[in-house]
Amino acid sequence: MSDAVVVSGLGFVTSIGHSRASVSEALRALRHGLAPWVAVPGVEVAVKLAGLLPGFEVGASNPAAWSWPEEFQIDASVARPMPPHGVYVLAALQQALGEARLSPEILRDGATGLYCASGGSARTLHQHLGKLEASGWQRAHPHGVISSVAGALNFHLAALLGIRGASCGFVSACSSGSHALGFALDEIRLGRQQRMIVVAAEDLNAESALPFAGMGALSAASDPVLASRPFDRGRDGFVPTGGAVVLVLESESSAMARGVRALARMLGWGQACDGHHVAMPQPEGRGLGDAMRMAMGDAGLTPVDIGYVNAHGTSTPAGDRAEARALTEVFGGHRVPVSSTKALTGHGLSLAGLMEAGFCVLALDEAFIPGQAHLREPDEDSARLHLPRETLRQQPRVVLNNSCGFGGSNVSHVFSSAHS
Amino acid sequence: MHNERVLISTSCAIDFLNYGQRAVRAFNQAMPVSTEFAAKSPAQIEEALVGFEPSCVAAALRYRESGEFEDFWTMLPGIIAFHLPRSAARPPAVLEDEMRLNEDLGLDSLALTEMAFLLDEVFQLSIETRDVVGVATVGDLKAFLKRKLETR
Repeated sequence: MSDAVVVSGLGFVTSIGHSRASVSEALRALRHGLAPWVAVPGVEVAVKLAGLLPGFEVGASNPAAWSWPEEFQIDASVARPMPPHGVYVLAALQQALGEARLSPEILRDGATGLYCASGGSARTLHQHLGKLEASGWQRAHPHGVISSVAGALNFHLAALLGIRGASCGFVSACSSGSHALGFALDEIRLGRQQRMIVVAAEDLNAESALPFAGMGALSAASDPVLASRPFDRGRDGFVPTGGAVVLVLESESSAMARGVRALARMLGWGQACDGHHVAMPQPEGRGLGDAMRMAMGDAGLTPVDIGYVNAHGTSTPAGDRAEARALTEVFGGHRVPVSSTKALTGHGLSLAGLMEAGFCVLALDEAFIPGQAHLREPDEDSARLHLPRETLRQQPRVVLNNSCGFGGSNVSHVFSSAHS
Repeated sequence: MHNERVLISTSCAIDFLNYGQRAVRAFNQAMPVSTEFAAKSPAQIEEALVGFEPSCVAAALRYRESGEFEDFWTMLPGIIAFHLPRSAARPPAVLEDEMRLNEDLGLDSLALTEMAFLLDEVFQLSIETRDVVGVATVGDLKAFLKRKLETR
């Protein structure tokens, strides 16, 4: 198909803002969303900080006690059987569908699909299984499955929106959201769907975050400025966050038919696996390098065309080192600005790739390049990168978004400005 | 099996309607509130019923004191309202026995099982999910709950 694929709607519930305007402002000012976090009330744990979601109270085991900022019109009956991150999704969905001006009739037209990414809710599963075991395995709550498993988002949203096109969930750890977006692009380019609602979300609670401490992946720092510092010599792990991002992707003709403005174009994507280790990246970032080259090839571009890279950069020693090496190998002498916005947001796991795709779209639509926050002294691999310390007030033409997940899964996207 | 359950439930509903107020009171005197529910403080009951309509919570508190089926039954519109898949569709304030739970009130089978789970958890009615198969109308539900209260 010759029709371009564009982004026509965005919705954010993130630690740096619950609206497009607040997220954009935080990216420009490099204002982080990390704050002291009590993962388990009354218990001292190794993790001191998180990217919090102020105004969203979804910690109670009884969903009827959950609450959210009043600007979001969320039906409590719809939210109740969902995992806690479902509430974030409903708020982000409201924004994205509003911006893309997608009516209920269009969502049900069969030409609209839905791809979701989430690790499920370990918390809800924990609670339901705990109660089931306590009952001698006799009393299972009817919502035990649909409020907790990894497909919960697509189950609920497909029914809620009346989706009759494609519907699927993606589970590739921290590249899940990026996989969802990449395959959504293919659905449109193959002519199977005119538009795709792409959703990525995660809980933020003890069950979602603390298991990563057992792998040594979490920062033990208590100073927000020192905790998430991708590419810095002193980094010691990631800071957890949750939230939701919704992105509407559609053919340009579909958006134009409704008179909706394109925020950016999505030109291509690529994925490649390290084939190396269950949790560690291949030290030279081999798979990520391949994914970046594939994405640029898919877009018909080369490294010199790229004006900004939103790095995966979680602030773990091994992950950032492998990515720095991959970027150096792929971009060679081309001095492309690179930053990891996880310095500001924390790491959203399945959410991360789509959240950062959303940030790339904002950068293209509003003409800025997010700087690398919290960087004091790059290590020797990172020192080869161009890591601007402040946000640059300039229009990037083409940007690349990286994500990496467990099992050596790597995904890259390429977007361009819709202004050109 | 499904039809058989419906017949049994309908029969119970007719029996119940013929009881009259005196019979209900006699029945209530014979079947007090569960020990576990009676032991709950008003605050704990309000916590268990967070999100429910105030009139429903008030009826639950009355039921805790009186043990009357009338108070128990007064809770039901609020309990049904809470379990509807969409809040926008409100049930009628007065429930008629012939109203169909799904078609007329919007209570689908998943919502019905969730409601059964809550009634079991909060009021100790010993309801298993398969028990509610065949409960199709308000009358069925009334008879079903009566039976559960009797056999608790």
